[in-house]
Amino acid sequence: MIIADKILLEYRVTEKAALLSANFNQYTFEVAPSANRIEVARAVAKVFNVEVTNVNILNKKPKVKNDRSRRGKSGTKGGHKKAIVTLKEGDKIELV
Amino acid sequence: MKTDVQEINATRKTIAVTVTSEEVAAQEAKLIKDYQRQAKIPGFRPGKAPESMVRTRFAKDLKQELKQRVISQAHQSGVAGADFEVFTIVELDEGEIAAGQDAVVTFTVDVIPEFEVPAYEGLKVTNTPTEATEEEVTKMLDQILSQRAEFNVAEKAAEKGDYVQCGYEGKIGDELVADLVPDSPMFGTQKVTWEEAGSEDAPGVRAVVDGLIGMKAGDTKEVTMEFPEDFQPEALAGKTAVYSIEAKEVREKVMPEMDQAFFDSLQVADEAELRTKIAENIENQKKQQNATSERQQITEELLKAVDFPVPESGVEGETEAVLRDFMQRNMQQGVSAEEFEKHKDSLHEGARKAAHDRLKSRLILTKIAEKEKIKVENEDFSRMIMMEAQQSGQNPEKLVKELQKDQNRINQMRRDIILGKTMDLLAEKAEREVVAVPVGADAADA
Repeated sequence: MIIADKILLEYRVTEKAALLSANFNQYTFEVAPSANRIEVARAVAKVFNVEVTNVNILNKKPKVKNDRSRRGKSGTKGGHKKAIVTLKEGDKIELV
Repeated sequence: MKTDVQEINATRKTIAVTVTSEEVAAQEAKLIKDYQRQAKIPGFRPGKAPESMVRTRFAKDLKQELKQRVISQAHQSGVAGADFEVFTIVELDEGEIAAGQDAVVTFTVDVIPEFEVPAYEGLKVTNTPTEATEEEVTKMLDQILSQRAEFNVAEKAAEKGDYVQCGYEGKIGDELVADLVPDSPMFGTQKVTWEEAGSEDAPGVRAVVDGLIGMKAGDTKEVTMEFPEDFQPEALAGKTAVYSIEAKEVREKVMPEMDQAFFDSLQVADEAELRTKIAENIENQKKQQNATSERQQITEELLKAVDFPVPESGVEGETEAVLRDFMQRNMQQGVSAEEFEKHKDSLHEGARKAAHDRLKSRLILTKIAEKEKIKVENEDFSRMIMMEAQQSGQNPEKLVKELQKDQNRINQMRRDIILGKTMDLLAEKAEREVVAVPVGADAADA
C-alpha cells in the first residue's frame, strides 16, 4: 500500500519548477530518500487525481559545511531527493 | 467604449459608460504585468514569478485595482470628456467588473448649468461718506477716557453714571422671580453685583438700574418693574414684579485728566493730534465698511441679474458649511445645543437660502473670471499664505509645508484667490454713488 504523505514531502516553489510546470506540464516534488519512481507516480496519481506519464528522480547531494558554532566541526547542509513528475496532457496540479 | 448621457433634471445627469470586454481584458493584462514586475514571492527573484502565481496570490488586490483602473478610464472618457461642465459626482455605480465581460460604469453627476454672464461692468453701488464727524470723534475720545476712568468710593447718593454695588431680590406676589427663571439670575435674585446707575443700555432689570439713582451706601428701596409683553425670557413677559434693592457701596466715576502723561501713553503730542488720529481711524473703519458693503451690493446685483438652477449637491454641502459656521459662532456666545434643536427647521431653511445664494454667486464669479482670464500669480499665493498664517498664529514656512502635502487645500485656496480677484475687479469697475446716511443709523453700526 502506498502512503502518499510518507513519499511526497514537499511541493517545490521555485523559478525552475514554475518554468517546468508552465511549459512542460511537469511538477516538481521533494520526496522521501527511499522512494522510487513507481511509488512517486502512484502517490501523485492518488493525491492529485491525475494520470502520470513519466517520473524523473534525482538525488541532490548534501554539501559539507564547517559549523563555526561547534568549534569548526564539519556537518552537512541541504540534500534531498527530487522527483519531476510529467502528467498526461490536459491534467493539471493547482497549488499555491 | 460607449457613453450614454441621460438627463434627470436641469442640473443632474447620469452618464453610463460601457467598457467592452476587450478593453477590460487589455487593462487586466497590463495590470498583471505591473504586478509581476514588483511581486516578491519566496522562491522567485523579483519580477520572475509566473503570471498564474501572481494571479492567485494577489487575486483580491488585482480585482480592486482593476476596478479602479476601469473606473478611472470610464471617468476620463465619460466625465472629463463630456461636453458640459461637471460640478461634482454625486453617485458612482460600477456594477461587476471582471475580465471577459463588458463593464458598465454609471456616474450620477451634478452639472454646472449654462447661463449667460450678466453685465458685470459698471454695476451701481452706493456708499456712505467716509469723513469722520466732529461728534463721532468726541464720542470716541469719551470712550477712550472712560476706559481709563477711575472709580472712587464716594459717600454720597448715587448719580447717573456711578457704579453701585448692590443686592436685589425680585418677587411677583409671594413668588420669587428666581424660581420662575432659574436660568437667568440677572432677573431674579442677586446677592452682590455691580450696576451702573441709570445706564441706558444695561442688560439687567430696568427698574433696578433706574432705582439706584439717589441711593446711598446702606440704603434699601423697593421698586416695581413692569415687564413688556415681548420680554425674553417668556416666563416674565407682561408681568409685574417688585424688587427690593439694597445698596452696599457707591463708586464715583472719575475721568482722567487730559494731561501730557495721558497723551504720552497714547503716543501723541497733544489733543489735536489725538483727534486727527481718531478721525483717521474712524475713516479707515468706514472705508472698510464701504468696501464690504460694496461687495455685498455687487453680489446682490449679480444674483438678481441672472436666474438659473443651482446644483443640488453643492447647495447641500454649502448649507452644512453655513450651519456649522453659524453654530460655532453661537456656541462661543454660549447658546446651548437644545436651543439649536428647537429652531432646527427654521435654521436649516435660512442656511439653505444663504447657501443657495452663495453658490450661485460663486458660479457667476467663476464664469466672469474665466471670461476675464483671471489667473493666480505666485504673489497672490504668498499674500494669502501670510494672511492665513497670521490669522492662525502659525509659522508661514510650516504652513507652506503643510499645504504642499494637501493638494485639496491648495486648489481651494486657488479658487478663493480667483474669486477674490474677480470681486476686486468688479468693485473697481463699479459705479460709485455716495449717499449720506442719517446720523442715527450710522452711529449704530460704527
